[in-house]
Amino acid sequence: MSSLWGKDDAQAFADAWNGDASARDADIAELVRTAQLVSSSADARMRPEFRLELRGQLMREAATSLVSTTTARPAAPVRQRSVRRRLVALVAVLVATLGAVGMVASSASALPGDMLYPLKRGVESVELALHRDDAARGDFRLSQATERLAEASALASDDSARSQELVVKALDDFSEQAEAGSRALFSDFSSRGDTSSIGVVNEFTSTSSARLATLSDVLPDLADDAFRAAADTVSNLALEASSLCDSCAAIDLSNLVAAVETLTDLPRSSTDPERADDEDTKGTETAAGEERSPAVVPAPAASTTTPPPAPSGGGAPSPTPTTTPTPTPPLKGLTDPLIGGLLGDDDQVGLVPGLIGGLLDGLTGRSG
Amino acid sequence: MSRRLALRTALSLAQMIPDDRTLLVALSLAEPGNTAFGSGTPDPGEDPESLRLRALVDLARDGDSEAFGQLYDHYSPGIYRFVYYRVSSPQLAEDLTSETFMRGLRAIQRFSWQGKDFGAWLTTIARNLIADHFKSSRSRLEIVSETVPESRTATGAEDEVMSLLSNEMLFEAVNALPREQRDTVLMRFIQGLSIAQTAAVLGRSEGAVKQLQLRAVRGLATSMSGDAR
Repeated sequence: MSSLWGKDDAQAFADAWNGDASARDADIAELVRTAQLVSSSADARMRPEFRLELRGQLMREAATSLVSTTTARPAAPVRQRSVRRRLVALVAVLVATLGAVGMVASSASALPGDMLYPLKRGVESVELALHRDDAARGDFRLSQATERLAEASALASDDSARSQELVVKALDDFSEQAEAGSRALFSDFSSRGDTSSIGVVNEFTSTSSARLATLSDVLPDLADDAFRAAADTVSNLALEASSLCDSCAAIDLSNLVAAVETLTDLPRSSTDPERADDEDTKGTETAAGEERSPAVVPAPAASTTTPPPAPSGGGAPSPTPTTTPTPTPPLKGLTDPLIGGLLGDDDQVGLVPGLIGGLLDGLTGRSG
Repeated sequence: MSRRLALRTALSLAQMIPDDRTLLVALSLAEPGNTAFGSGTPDPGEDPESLRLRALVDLARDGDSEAFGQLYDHYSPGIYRFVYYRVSSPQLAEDLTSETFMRGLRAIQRFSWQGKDFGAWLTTIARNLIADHFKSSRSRLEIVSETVPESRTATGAEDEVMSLLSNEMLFEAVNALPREQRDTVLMRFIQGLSIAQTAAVLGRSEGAVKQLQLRAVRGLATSMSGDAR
């Protein structure tokens, strides 16, 4: 008899009782009814007065027994309160975080001019602050620059004057971040000799030049100068990368040079491959660094004056001779990167200022 | 409207900046699993109620008496039923329930979560107290077993299949079962513990508890249909 009550029956009954499955057969259904009968018949309750009395007793006992056993820890009552506060704080943080995460997530696709855009840049600043070494910072900066380029492309299709201004701003930021990121990676290369840092720059310049070429078709006139500065920066960085490490550049340099040529064609072709080759033959790092500026500066100078909006622009001839890949001042200044990221620095809108900006917009502006 | 909401959220984000870890949480967008959640890290699938109970136990262990009061409110009805249908005397059930919670209160600071559930832990205390009671006072056992046949004659209502059993009938049917089956029925169908909790109290596997409850219910069905006829 008992052999009939196999494992399957036990499982079938457990599932049926839990409501996970309907009763498999009449036998199981009958058993579930029996269990229900037992369950609903078992309605014995404590007398209310007993329940309350016992509770009171326990509370009195708890006051002595719970605390008295913790006399070893003299701060017991304080601790008790602090635990409750900790729970409250925890819940508050969780709720706030869930909200904030949603905001941050939806800000990821924000464009300049969007309400959430300052938040997006703020998050980027914080993220940057979390990257400590040159390679990681540089890498992240370049991804930021790529993002700026994507923003510029998205905005360029819009004809409104505001969008055109924002394209200029996005391109300027692109130049800045591309320059800063590459500087960090160059510095990482010269300190550690890891060619992958140069590889990252090469990849960046190659994709960016392709994207810039695409962008040039839809670009508003207003953004021409900023565009030239961006193109200069990219070609500049490509040349410097190749001069620092020609073995790493050799792989895709031809491709790259072609792309840079199409780019610089817009202003006027002046950074032809021959010049790049010249530099390569001269070869030493310092020579390359000094040679870099003249090699590229003629490009914008040939058509118009160098655009002023390019802030730390790679193409701008700096009065001090560029010594090889030392980090630019903004990077040096980030002795405490977290503070830099939060409060902003030369090339970052800090998270706090970004948020305050957003707040002010909300207060003064169009929320009506 | 949504702009206001957005600003408020941005503001709360700004307030959270001083805490480096909170920022990391905010930044690790889709990884809520990383949040450090107090002591006794709960299973991911736990429902809010068991999270609340866990927090209450942690608070009570830290000396919060009101937290223990809430644990009492939650667990005492089930413990009382478990005891009552084992001893069939309201007076005795009250005594044993009191003693269970008194002991639980004094021992809670030694309670640790390792492989234990608080409800199962309390039930273990109650079960041991009942066993002690039957061991030490055989006289009471006599009284208890005397009361049962007396009231048994008063049960009726055989016509309706689902009419409720009297407490006495239920007591007799349950306590006629073998020891482990009896306790399984008490915990599963009368007190309302889960399979896992019951397994913890009995020190058996969950599979064994499923077998036990099946056999027990078959036994009950047989004895109750026998009674009805």
